Amino acid sequence: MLCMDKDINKSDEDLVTLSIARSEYFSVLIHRYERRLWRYISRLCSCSDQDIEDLLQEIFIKTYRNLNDFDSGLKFSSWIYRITHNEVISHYRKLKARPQSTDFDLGLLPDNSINEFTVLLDKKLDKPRILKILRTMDLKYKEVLVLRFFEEKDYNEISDILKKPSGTVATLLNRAKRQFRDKAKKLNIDF
Amino acid sequence: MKDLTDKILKEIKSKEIKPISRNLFLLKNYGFWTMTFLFVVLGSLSISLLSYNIASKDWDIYSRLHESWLGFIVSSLPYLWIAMAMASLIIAVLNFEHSKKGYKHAPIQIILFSVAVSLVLGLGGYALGFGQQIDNFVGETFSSYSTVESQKSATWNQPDKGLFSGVIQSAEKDTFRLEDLSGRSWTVDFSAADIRGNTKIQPGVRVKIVGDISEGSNINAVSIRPWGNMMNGRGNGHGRNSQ
Repeated sequence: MLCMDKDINKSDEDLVTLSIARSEYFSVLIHRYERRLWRYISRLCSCSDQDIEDLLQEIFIKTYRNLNDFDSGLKFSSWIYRITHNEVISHYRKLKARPQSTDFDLGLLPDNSINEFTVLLDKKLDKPRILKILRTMDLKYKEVLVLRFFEEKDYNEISDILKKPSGTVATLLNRAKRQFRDKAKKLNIDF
Repeated sequence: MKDLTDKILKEIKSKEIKPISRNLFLLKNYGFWTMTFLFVVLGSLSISLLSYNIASKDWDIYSRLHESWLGFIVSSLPYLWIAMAMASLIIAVLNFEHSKKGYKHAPIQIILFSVAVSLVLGLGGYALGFGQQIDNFVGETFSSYSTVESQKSATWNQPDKGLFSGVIQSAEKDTFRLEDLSGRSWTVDFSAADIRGNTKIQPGVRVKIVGDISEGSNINAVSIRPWGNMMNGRGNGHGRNSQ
């Protein structure tokens, strides 16, 4: 890798500017986001590692091609999550049509997120049961829960990622919690 | 994960992928906003025309033209311009919603804002006379288009329904001589008539008359109004040129 260690401390926005001139700088951004985006995608759809890798490759290349369209009024993380969201949505139908090859990696849900999530729902649930419920949820509700509780994004960031007004994000989140509870009941999970 | 980074960088290099030019995005952005602006202008002009069309109608004479008020409204509304204003508004709203920051606003906010802007510009355009100018322009360009003036002329040239229009040739205390659009002369008794707006009974003035034929070419006028719109006085109809 041609980039120096000092580049690792540069802001996302600086790296965008540098990447436009030299593609090597883009490797720092890939390195910074690949794990987070991998987790995000795997939480949204139960797809194979190979599928996620292909998807990530498409996402990063699309991001690279569109670097000049990056709006500096937006956080880079929100922008790349938005691109990921769009790619997952367009990929989702294809994935849904196929048999689900892998399951959620339980280790992908950090304990602190689980705690925050269950506290907000006024209930204590363990990881396997949360994942079992999440798997049955509509993508739009699952995604907003994942962004809020597992990706730890605030309302404004979720608004930028999903391209919806903050008020709509709050409504979606409430409906998502309601659906989570309903699904838990249907699955006979004590809730 | 290192493999993935290398794989992506290799792909970028081997396929010579480059970031799309900033100018292309700027061009796309300017094109997008120019289109939005044009649709807002088109919507506003349609509202100007719509206002001119509605304001030029004499809604109080419906009983002489239709059996019901509803029938009169249905047959009188300028559907072409209503459709044009709605279509322009919908496209402008969709454009706003899909702009870079459009998602930050609730759809209802965008709709209300677009309606307000279109109404302000449209009514402003109407007050400045754009509605009439566009109507005349469209009428001159498309022979099949019926202008407000031609519709008005047709409406007010129906003696059998008690609707007359024409230019005053000479005036006396209670009567005046009128030459209508077809060149026919009438003697109008306006002693009991309601003279509306700023109508001046003097030679050269174009007027609209609601009345009844008493005998031959005599009219007992019920009301007399200026040819132009009473609300803003446009096209007040002095002289034959106003036809």
